[in-house]
Amino acid sequence: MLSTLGCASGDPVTGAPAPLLDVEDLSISVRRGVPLVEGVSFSIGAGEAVAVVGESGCGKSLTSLAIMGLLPGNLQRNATGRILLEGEDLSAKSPREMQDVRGNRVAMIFQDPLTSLNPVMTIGAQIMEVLEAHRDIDRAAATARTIELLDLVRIPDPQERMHAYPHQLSGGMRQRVVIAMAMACEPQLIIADEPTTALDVTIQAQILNLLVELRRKSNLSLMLITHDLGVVCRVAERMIVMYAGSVVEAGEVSAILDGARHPYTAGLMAARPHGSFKRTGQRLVDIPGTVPPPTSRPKGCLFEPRCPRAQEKCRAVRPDLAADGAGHAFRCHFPIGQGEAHA
Amino acid sequence: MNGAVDKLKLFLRRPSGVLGIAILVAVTAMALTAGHFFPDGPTRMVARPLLWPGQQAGLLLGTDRMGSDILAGIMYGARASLLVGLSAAAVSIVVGTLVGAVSGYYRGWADDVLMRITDAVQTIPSFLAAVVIVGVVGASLTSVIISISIVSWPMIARLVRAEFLRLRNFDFVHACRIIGMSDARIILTQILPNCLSSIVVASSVLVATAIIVEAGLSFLGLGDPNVVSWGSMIGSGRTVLRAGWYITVIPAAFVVVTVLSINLIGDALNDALNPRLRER
Amino acid sequence: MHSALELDDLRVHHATAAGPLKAVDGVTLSVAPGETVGLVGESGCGKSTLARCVVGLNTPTGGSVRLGGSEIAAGGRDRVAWARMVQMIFQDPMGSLNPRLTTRHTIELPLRVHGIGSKNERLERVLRLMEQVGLGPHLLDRYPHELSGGQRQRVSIARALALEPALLVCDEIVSALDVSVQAQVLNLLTDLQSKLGIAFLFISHDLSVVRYVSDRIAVMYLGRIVEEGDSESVWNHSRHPYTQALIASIPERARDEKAQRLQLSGDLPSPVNPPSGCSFRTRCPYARPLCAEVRPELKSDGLPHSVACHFVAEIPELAARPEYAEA
Repeated sequence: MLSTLGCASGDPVTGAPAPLLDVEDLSISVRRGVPLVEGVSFSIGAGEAVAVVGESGCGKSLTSLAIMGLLPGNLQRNATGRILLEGEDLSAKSPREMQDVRGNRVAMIFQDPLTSLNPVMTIGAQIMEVLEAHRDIDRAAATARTIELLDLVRIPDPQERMHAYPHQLSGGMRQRVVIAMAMACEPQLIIADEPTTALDVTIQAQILNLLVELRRKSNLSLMLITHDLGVVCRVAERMIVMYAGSVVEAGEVSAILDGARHPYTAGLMAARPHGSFKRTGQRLVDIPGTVPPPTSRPKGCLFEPRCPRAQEKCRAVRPDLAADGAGHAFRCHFPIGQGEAHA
Repeated sequence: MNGAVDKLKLFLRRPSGVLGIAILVAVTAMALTAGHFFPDGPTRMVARPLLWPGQQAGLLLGTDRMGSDILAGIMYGARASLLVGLSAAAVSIVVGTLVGAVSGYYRGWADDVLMRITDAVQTIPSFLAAVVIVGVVGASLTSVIISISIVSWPMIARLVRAEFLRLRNFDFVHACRIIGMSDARIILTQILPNCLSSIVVASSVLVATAIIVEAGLSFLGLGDPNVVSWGSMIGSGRTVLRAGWYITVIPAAFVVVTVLSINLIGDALNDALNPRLRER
Repeated sequence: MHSALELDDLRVHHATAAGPLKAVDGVTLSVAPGETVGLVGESGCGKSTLARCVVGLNTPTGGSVRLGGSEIAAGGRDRVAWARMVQMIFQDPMGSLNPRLTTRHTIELPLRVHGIGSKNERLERVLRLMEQVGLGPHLLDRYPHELSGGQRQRVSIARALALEPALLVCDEIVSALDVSVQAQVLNLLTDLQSKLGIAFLFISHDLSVVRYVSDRIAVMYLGRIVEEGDSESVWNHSRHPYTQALIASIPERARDEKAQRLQLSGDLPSPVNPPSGCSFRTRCPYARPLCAEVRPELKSDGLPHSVACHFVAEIPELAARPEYAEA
């Protein structure tokens, strides 16, 4: 079990304050009607780190783009779904107001630091540009703040380095610059979409340490989108598992990694060679088959065609997301019992 | 291959491409049937010179300065234009593909040498070069074709080289080398089929350009003197532009429409064959 | 019996404007028949260049590559003979298949190049290979874009197996796949290992994955091997500070304080001007003046496996899984 490593032990959700971000019944579909994301609801409290986990095509990145108001033109949101930031409905905002929300209140970090930076501008100029776009700030103050930000993300010699161009920095340093840009206007929430996937293992550890440290320092909320359960357990307190456009399990990281209730989550954990077993004679438990494409999702439970526990009912009725008493929710007719060993 | 059928469907879905094909088919039919309708050739005097179109029954497009039937000239001229356009394009494609494939696949000194030659040829203004070559070699249909080919292969060479540079780094090409396939076989059977669509699209431009250059050469009197082409007809109408402007305008219109149709086909082909554009 | 692969002091230096880039700088490594050796390291450590040398895509500038006991001419003139010895599977499942060839033609291609069998025999062979890698016969006439990522990777594996090579080089073959599909491919690989007795050189940046499939592990840093030995020994008793940093960087492990002390700061130095002496010293918590002067050799004095470090005796071993350290 992952938890034997002393993984995630976040505060229990007792009397949590009003959530910072509240996503209710969000669906996203292609204009002609094929739904890509279906009825996703979750919330992120102030200062909380929530991981959204899933494989490619599960809709985790689309969900984050919808929050940022950056969905590509050929996709649309459903009318009933709501995205509330501190109680304000973001879908009611004009494009101009959304620009203000982005950067100032919610910032985003992408996977590839090279494409999120402008290759012909120095990194200092790019950070200052963000500051000047959102703050009424003079040149000297902007410079001082830029140096402060670069220092915050642990870039050595910030006075010198702010004159560097992106290609003169390593991948890890570039991702630090991207984080500094995201932090520039002290947002309440950072959405990080696979922030360490393009990086080497040792650099990934550095960036994850940095994210943990920044959260501790500035009471930042974090929505971490990742496919890597290791990263989840390093950074997040709560997690949401998505499969084929829907949330299939949600709860505290330690609770889920200790005892996943949904067979898909259990499958994801058993599928990775994370070294919690001795090698000889062991096999990884793979999940047979592939994720169904949005055009041919099953009528019943989405995971039914690949599920080892599937029964007749699963084929006919799509289960609802139901929570146990401790805030651990799962979408399964026949969940794995507590105490039952994984796979 | 089922892919080819899909692509044909995609092509036919575009009205501009279908229109282009229709025009080109019509022009080709004119070229092929010229001998049947006018067995005596285009230069025979059939009536009084400078008859306007429709002025005399049976002479749909009138007569020119010498009293020849303009319709006969147009139909025979289509032969010259299409022959020159297609042959010049074919020669350019063969030479350009060969040069581009070798320099793109092998890189190194072969690439350096071939690309410097390509650069050198590309810096010469193509129409002037054609004029000079025809002037030196003498005017005949073959020399016109060769001179056009000489100035137009570099475009294909550059295109094919860029495709080869991109494709040679794909792992499937590495895999072919690892399974022991020879370079020639990799180039011909693995990489070339993958750049065919780009070559096809580019060659439509090539045909159109060749037709225009041929017309230009003939207009200047540098075409084959024994062959009537649209260019030479435009040239011969020049002196009587005020009295009989139709003599110039009719063949010019055919040049414009034919070139336009080939460009329409090229655009439609590009949309059908280029997968990135197809996504939208 | 000859080793499936023997690398002796392999060097690949590329000339650049700033000086020679030492992608691979003196690697000695052997793979026994039927054995799986895992090569682990981060981007820029030279592991892919090494793989390309083994299959003949790159020409070494020094040292030798021996396959099945015979040295292969540098420059890879004898491509056909080489192909029977070693095959390769690549990272990107889409890019490693020709988009214009169906599954059948892709897998048949090596057989046709080597003139093996009649048309019918080849088809039979293709179907058998497809069955072996877990592809149903209904996928025979599909094009790559009609297959899933995992299926494409299986086609690649079938193509590599067609010539029955003694050695298979796998370069990051699961890193572009989703976790569940990754497990399918890794399981297939371990099945093939036990059934076919092929030797594998398995290259990855992910130590957990490498350890899962490998009998032995070699850890590479800046063109050199810094630690090498039995897979469980390296995993549970790592001694080189770089291997320890790799283990300490595994996110689940990264929480505990001991691991955080062992994590690296800074970036990989440029392979064009690598540090003098031990190339790891600029990021090593144990570095001393000696490390700048003398390059440590890979040796196993009194250790269960080989380590290239002057002060290996002073470095406490690190287990990837504390609770299994004694096992």
